[in-house]
Amino acid sequence: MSQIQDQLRRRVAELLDAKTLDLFLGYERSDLPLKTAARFVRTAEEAERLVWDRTCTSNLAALLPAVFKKPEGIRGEWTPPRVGILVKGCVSRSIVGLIKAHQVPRDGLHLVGVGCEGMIDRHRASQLVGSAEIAEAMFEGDSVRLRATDGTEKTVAANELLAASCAVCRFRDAVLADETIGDPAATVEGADRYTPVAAFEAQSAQERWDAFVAEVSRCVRCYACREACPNCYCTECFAEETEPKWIGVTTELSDLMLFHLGRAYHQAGRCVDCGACVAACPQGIDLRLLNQKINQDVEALFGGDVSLSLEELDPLCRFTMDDDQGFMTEP
Amino acid sequence: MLVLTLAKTDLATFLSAVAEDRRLVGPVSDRAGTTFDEIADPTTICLDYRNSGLSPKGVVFPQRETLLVFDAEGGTEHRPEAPETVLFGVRPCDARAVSLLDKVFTWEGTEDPYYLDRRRRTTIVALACNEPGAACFCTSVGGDPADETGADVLAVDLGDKMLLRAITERGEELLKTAGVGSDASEADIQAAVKAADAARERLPKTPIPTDLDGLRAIFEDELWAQEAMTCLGCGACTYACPTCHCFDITDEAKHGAGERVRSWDTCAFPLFTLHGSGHNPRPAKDARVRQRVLHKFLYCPENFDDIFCVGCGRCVTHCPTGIDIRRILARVKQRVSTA
Repeated sequence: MSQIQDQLRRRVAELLDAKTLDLFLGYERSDLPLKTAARFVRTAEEAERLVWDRTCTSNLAALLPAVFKKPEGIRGEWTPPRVGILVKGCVSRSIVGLIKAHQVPRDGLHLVGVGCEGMIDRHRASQLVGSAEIAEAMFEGDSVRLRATDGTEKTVAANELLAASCAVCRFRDAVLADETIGDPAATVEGADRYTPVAAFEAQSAQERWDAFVAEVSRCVRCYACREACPNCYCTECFAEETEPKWIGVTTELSDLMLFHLGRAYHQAGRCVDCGACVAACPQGIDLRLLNQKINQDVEALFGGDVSLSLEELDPLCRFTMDDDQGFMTEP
Repeated sequence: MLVLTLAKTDLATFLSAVAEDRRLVGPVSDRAGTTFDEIADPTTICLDYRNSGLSPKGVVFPQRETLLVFDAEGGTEHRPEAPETVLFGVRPCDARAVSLLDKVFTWEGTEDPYYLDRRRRTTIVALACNEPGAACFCTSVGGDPADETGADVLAVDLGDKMLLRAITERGEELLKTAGVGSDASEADIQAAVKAADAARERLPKTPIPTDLDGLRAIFEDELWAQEAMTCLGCGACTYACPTCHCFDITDEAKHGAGERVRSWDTCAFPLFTLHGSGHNPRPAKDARVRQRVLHKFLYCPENFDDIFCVGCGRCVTHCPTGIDIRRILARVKQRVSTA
C-alpha cells in the first residue's frame, strides 16, 4: 500500500512539474480515522499529501464535471484544465460513463489506475467499538487496529469491514487508464452481488412495504446520495423541478418515496455499484438495495455490465432483435 | 439552585415521573449511531453516546412544519398547541445551539410564534461530556464539555449515579416535580468538576478567525474557490448542523386544497438563491461554501454577537468528500492575518 502511495506521489509530482497536468485529483488524509478527503493538488509539493489506502472511499468521478465547466463570470475563451485523477475500478467505470454521456472530455483527462482491495465501511467499523467512537485506526498488514475514544483497542481483519459494494466487486482494477501504479488487484470470486435483493424479495408484500417505508422515512432530503453519485449530473434534478413540479420538497413520506424511486430508476443501466451513495448518507439508509434490484433487472433483461469500455454501447443504449419485450402489451 | 444526585437505578423512575404529563425526547441507539426520538419506555434511552448523527434541533425547529391550511375558499393558520416537552440528555453543544436559534427566531423583536410556542414548552436537560467525540472542538468556539448555556438542567454522568444541577427556574421545577434523587454531596459536585476538567483537556484547540473586518476583507479571496472544489453541493453538513436554521416555505397542494409548509433549506443548494429571472447571485460552489463559513463566523457575530458554530463536529463527520471546516477555518484565519 505505502509503496503504491510513494509511487503515486512521485508520479503526480512529475506530471505536475512537467506541466503535463494542471490539477490532480486524489485523496488526502483527513483528521478523522478511516476517512480520507478528496483533494485537488496543483504542485509537486502538494502531491506529498496524496494517500492511497483502504479508506479512499468516495467516488472522485462525481467531482469531475464541475472542473470542466466554464466558470461563470469568465467572458470569451476559456481553456479547461488538464486534469489527472486516481482511479480505482469503480471510479474508472464512472468516468467511462461520464465520457460516453459527454459530461467530461476524454482528452482533458489523465487517468492513473490503481488496483483496489476494497474500502472499509466506517459505520461497520464503528459498531465494533460500542458506544465509543473510533479515535484512531492503524493498518497492520491485512488487519486494522482500532483504538476507541474510551481507550479500548480491537484488531480485526480489514476484509471483515468491507463496504457492501466492495465485498462483491468484480472490477477492482481500472477499466480505463492512461497508466497504472502497482499490481493488479486480486479478483473476488464466487460472491453473489444480488444476495440482499433475493433476501428482500423473499419477504411478503407487507414486510417489503414496511421495510421500504422504514428505510425512506430516515431520509432528510440532504441529497448527499445524489451529489456523491457521478451519474447524477443533471443540471436540474426532477426532485427540484418546479415546472412541472413532480414532487414536493418536504419530508412527507410520499415525497421521500418518490425521490428514492425516481433516483433509482434514473440509475437504470448506469449504476456501477460503487457504493458512494451509501457511504455518503448521513442517515445510514440502505440505498443500495433499490439500485441493485434495478442492476439485476438490467442484467437479466438486456445483458452485460455497464460502463466497461468507451467503445461498447451499454445495455440500455443498444438494440438487438432478441431483446426482452415481455414488458410490451398487446393493444 | 437545586443540585441532586440520582442513582442510575432510579433513572427510569425519574424519567417516568418527568414523562407523566410531558413528552419525553432523548437519545436512542440507531443504526446511524444515536438519534433523538420520543421515548415511550424510559429504559430505551441511551445516555452512553458521544454525539447523535443529526442534532436534536428538530424538536424546536422541525424539518417539516405546516404553517397554514387552505382550500379554494381561503386559509387558516395552523398552529396547534405545542406539547410540553423534555429534551433529555442532549450534549451541551446542542443545548447551546438552541440558545443561538432563540436569537434568530426573536431577531430585532420579530418573534416567530411557531418556533416560540414549541421553545417555551421545551425543557432542556443537557448531559455534560466526559469523553469528547473524535470530531469535537467545542472549546475552540466558546463552548465547554460542561457548558450550561441553553440548558435548564445540566446532568453529569458519575458512573453509577448522575449529578443533576438546575440552571433555570424551569429546570428546578422539573427536578422538584420528579421528586426522585437526593441533595448532592460536595464529593459528587467535585467529581463532576473533575470530569469536566478531564474532558476539556482532551479537546483540540482549533484556530478560529474572529477578526470580523479581516473576514470582510477576504470576501473575494481565491481560497473560497479552492476549498469549494471538493464540495459536492449536498446538504449533509447543514442538515446535521445544530445551528443552521435556513428554511423554505412552499405550498403543497392537491385536489384544490393544501398546506403552506416550512421545510429546512440549505445555502449549499443552488436553488436556495436562484431568482425567478434565472439569475443566481451565488452561481457557483465557491460562493456557497463561502456563505456557509461566513454566515457562521462573520454575519452571525455581526447580527447576534455570537459565532454560530458550537463545535459539534457533525459537518466534519458527515461530509462525503471529507471537507473539514476546522481546516478551512485555519486557512481563513491565516489568510486574514496575512492579508
